[in-house]
Amino acid sequence: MNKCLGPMTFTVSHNPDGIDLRFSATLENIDRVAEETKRFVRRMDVEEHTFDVFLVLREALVNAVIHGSGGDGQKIVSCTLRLEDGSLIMEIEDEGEGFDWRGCLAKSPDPNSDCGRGLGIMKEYCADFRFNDKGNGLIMRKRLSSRVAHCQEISALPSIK
Amino acid sequence: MAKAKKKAQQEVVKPEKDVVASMAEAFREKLLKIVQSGVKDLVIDLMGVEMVDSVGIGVLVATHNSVSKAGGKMSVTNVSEDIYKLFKTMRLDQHFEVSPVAG
Repeated sequence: MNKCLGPMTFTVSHNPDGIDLRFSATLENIDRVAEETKRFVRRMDVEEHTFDVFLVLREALVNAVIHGSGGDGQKIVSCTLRLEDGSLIMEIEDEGEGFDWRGCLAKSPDPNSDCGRGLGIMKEYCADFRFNDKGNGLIMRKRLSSRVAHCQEISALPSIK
Repeated sequence: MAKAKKKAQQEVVKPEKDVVASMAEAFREKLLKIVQSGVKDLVIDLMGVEMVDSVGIGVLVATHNSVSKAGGKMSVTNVSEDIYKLFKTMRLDQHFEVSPVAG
């Protein structure tokens, strides 16, 4: 399925285990990615508890749109979601220059500040994530407890003879 | 977008949609206008809100800072279980009163 709205890009490609999204770096498109992700997890039967997934995904996308792309709607953000071994893998990349993620991760958010909590939330809600060296690409893994994840674990066990 | 109800000194604001980056700027402006109008007891009612992201949290903290500076207080009510946990994790309950949704 492809959706192109004038100069703004929003494309979704479906494959058996995941979806690939490419979109213009706008805040409204983050909501559209969240909607597509909802449909995807429903299709994959992993809807049991998805608040944490949507939260960390939104934080990663906000970083990519606001900081990575500087709010420039001409820039493209890509987001790939796939189900792998009972986990949801989320890869987000923007066309920006990256940032000093090592320095930012080492800092605690200022409790009185009205910004700077995105990475703090990711640290609290996603045990497994890493940036590329430059800081314009991020991969996150969220373990899912669902029928599908459970079945995959069971099918990975050696068969009884 | 957000509805505001007046009751004596109190103003209740219901965003009635997720408090996330795409709506944050308009919501921030609306709340700032309410604070500037002299309201001293601002209640943000999150009934039906399913998601608050870091940008939305930023709006709440900024509004709390503005109300406090003006000698008032802000509280957040009807917070879903997931969002309540997020607010506790981010220690927002140390800034303003946060009440979970009943039941």
